[in-house]
Amino acid sequence: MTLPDGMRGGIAPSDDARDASCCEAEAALIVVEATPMGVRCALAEMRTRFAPAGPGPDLLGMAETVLAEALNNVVEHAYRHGGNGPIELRLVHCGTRLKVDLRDYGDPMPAGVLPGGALPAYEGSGDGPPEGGFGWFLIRALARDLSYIRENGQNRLRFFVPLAEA
Amino acid sequence: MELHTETRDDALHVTVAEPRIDSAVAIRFKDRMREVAADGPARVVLDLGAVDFLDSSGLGAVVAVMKLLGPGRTLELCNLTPNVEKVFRLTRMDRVFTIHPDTEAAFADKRSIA
Repeated sequence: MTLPDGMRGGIAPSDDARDASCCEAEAALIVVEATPMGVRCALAEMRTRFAPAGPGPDLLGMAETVLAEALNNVVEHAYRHGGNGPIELRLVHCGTRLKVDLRDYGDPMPAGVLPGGALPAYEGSGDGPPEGGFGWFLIRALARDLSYIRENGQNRLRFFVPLAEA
Repeated sequence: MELHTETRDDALHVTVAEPRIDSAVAIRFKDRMREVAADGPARVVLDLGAVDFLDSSGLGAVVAVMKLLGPGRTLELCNLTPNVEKVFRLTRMDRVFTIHPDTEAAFADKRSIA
């Protein structure tokens, strides 16, 4: 089967749907390969799935930002030793939140813990503003109830994002 | 990575004709900016009005473009869409760049707003 732009799987009801405590909705399962195009594909699928019908303010912008940073981290760090994934994304829309469960089978987080969320320091360094180091800052600024576990070769990152206008 | 350029007043006006500057295109964006801005006016105004989404790679690339212009040249931004504006604001990069609300403001007679 040929899938476009790095998409490895479609949307199917998740096994975890029963665990969604705040919401009866089934989780949307999105599986993509761990490449920049796979990340784009996952984000486009998230929008297709959760964008409200009709015109109105964009409530998914910050969710897209957090998801992009978390997915990019998997591509650039967890799978840095090679392999293109998979990345599994389980999403549930609960009222004014998007619940996210992100799993991969790459390297664990360094020391088994999530990075901090400080902005990169540069004033006085003489190097000018930083060109990187914003990813975890953005995740920690916008995501709530972050948790990480490493189990049976799998990384599992969970959080939710309030759905709000930028 | 499609960029449209126009020399306007004392500046090079570069419009990004892409909806996203993300990790898939950040390096190409930087390379194309280097090409179009080479030997151009000191002031470069980057119009992001068509860009709906900018991730940290894209943000890093915009910072990198500012640095590669070098001393004596400036990179200013205009027409930020709400999500892009929020990324600049959250990361405090809105303090690093002069950001104009729209093209008219970017090319208004600078003496009148100085």
